[in-house]
Amino acid sequence: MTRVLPGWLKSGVFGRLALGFLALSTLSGLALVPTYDPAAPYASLEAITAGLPWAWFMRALHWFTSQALLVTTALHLLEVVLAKRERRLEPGPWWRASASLVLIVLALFSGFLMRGDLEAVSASRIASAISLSLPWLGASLRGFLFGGEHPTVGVIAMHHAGTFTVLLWIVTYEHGGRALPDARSVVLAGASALVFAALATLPLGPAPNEVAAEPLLGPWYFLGLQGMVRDLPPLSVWLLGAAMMASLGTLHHFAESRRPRQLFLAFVAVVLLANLVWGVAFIWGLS
Amino acid sequence: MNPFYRNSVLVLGGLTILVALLVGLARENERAQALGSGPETAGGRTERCLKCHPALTEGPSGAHAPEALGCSPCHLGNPLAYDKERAHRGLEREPGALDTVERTCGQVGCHPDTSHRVRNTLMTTAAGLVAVDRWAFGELERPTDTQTMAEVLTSTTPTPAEDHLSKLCGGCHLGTRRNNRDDAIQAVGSGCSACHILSGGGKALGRHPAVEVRASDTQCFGCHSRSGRLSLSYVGWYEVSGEQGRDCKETERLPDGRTVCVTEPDVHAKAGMSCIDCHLHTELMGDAARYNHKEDQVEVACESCHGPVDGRLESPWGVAEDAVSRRILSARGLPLRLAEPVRTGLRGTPLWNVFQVDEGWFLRGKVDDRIQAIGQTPADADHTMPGHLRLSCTACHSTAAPTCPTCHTGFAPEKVQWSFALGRPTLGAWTEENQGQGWAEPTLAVFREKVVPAVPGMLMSLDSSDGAHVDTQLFAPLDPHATTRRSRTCVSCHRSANALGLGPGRLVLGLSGPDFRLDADAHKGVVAGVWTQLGAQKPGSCTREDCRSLNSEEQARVLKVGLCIDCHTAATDALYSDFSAALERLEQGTSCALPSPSAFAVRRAPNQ
Repeated sequence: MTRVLPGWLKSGVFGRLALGFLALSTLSGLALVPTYDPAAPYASLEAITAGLPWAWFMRALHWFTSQALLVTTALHLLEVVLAKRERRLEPGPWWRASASLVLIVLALFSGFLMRGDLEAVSASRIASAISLSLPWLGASLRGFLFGGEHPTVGVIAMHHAGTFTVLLWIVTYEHGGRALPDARSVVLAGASALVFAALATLPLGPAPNEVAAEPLLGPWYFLGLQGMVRDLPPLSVWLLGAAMMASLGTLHHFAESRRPRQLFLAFVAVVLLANLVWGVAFIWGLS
Repeated sequence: MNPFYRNSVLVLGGLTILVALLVGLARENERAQALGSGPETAGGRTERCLKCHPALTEGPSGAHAPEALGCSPCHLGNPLAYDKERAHRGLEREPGALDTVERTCGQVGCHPDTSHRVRNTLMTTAAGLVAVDRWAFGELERPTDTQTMAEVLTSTTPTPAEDHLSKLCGGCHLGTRRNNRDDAIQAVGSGCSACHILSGGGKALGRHPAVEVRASDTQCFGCHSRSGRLSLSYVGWYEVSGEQGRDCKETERLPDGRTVCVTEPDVHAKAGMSCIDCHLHTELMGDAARYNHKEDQVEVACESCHGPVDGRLESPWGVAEDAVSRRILSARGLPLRLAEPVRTGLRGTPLWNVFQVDEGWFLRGKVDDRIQAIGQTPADADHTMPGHLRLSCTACHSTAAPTCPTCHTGFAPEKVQWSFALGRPTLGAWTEENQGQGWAEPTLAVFREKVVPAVPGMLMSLDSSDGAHVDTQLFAPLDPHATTRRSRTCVSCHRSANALGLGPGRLVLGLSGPDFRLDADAHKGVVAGVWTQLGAQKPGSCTREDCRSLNSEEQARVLKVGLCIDCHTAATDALYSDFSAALERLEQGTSCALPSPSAFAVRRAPNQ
């Protein structure tokens, strides 16, 4: 398969771009820190959206670079797997690098929750309930991630800007071997992000005390999950997620074994496909 | 080289960044200019509505003032938003409307208990109106039921009566929104706003109608100037149609086009009293209980103010005090002295605006704070006459009531009429017509073992789907709110065919017994104003289960007195202290100057 890939894809272009997006996402996030009050998240978002100079622009920049980070990281993982370059890393760094996908999703999702609108409040409750469903560790996990039974935006914001972001930088540095992106990646990532920020108007859901006129939706990468938890017990979400991550990590150990490697990849593909189908079915069901 | 990182791509990227920043700059300028210049807070909370609506030239004051509350506590929307679209999302243009009242007036911290009460008051449920209407249409066995107007308006397969209600009566239901209202209803809003938002405010921004706790009579007028016409009668107006207006000394034209004749106002109106001076908060906003009919919801009685209280309508404040009255007294800076007596309604709610000084009772106007003395019912012969013990105050002191014996309801299937159920015009119109309305002495009814005024309702011709045809006219007990200090005359009851519900005709009293000859044309089989017959075995029925016309025995008693009242004119006459004994003495030969019976054939009941 490596033979059919174009040469530029083997050069790790998505990995470099991902680091560019990570840097811009972190910087734009830092710029937003003074405008955000975890005690009044929705009011903060209203102010960011229209009340403060350039804050709307910075939020759009932060949103786009974060989403692009997830997409480019996933593509980077794909380019590595397709080029069979897992073995370039030791098993430990490989497992941790694979886990960076989870870290990015957590960072993105916690950012979604920090909006404090009706969708975010509802999503917090659902996510909190899902975390509680984890056998034995559920209550502790919920306390760690959400601050307890009633999700606290302050705790979520701490993990968003602190835990997840710092871990992401560490993992990136560990397997990429560099702390800062190259200038060219920053220019490309910045150009696309700035165009988006200049043209797009980011939505903000209904106020948390509003009565929802339309069905509440989670972030795009969780629409499949949202449909799934409606039809399946929450524990199945944990099992599928864990199995998928385990499959990715295990790939390293079967880099030279064709059949098991294909099986693991097929499993990951099936889970992703199921997620996609469930997401489409969920949206379809709403309409 | 990786095509992504060619110099040309990077140069293009740099140019793109420049253009994006310029576009961003333009949008940023646009954002900054869209922000209003008014204050951002009210009452210590963020209320950005005021940035664009900074100064209301009139409108809410006090606790509801914009600088204290802002806009969103009443109007909802999003007070944190900076742009119009987001700020107006979920906006409630009509705060107090019952479908959102729990989030506006009734929210925690404002009036949560009151909204629950209003939801259950008769002005919201209209249960009595619904039940009587459906009973009149033959859809119910009895004129009492629990179905509400809201249920009628949401009925998917409305019966004829439900259709009638949804096209003629639904507009006065407190749950019907302002934009789904008959234009005759002069209220600015529904729910709480129907009474507490004063008419007169414009729609233009900056002109906000006033929010007023002291509901004025104008607010009541919109709904209560119809049907029983209480608001009209109270100010001394009665409706006339067509040529009738020519006979009036003075006429007025109502905003909805009706013509009224000006006559004597209710004695309380003459004294400058408002509707809310008599009517208690438990009647107007309810007490959370559901009542079937108006007389069940109404708590105040004439005796509450005028006595005699007979130990039931007066108690110390310490016993009668309720939370609402305590709040009102406190808000108005009035003292609450628990040991002092207070007059109460029938269910014990204190009349906080009635108070005693020395031996006298006084009323404080709820709207104007004016204080005036309240006359107490004297224990004289007029008020203690044994034969009158069952009479309500209104039986004598309501000297006139609006009548419309020729009013007729019809249905025109080809016409279009507004449906309050659907909020749009629909095919099929209920019509109301008459050959003249009136203002006459009321008929007498027996309601809950009390003699009360009653008035005839509409002539109805009903064709049911099974082919049955019914022509009928119903009588209803009514306090016409046309109270006069003087009472109606003895003759107006004791020698009146109208008072007995016999209809227009010639009533002849004689020692051999009364005789009555009906003198009127039947309208589709029904003679207007005829409720019962002289000596009928069964009295005429009424729009209430425990209401009827006078029965034959009562008719006889009333008319017997009619023989005597020419000579024995005063209530102090010994004859009336024990009338039965006097009749026995008469039979035993006591002298009586009674002339021939024909002399009494004097009273022709007017065509009401």
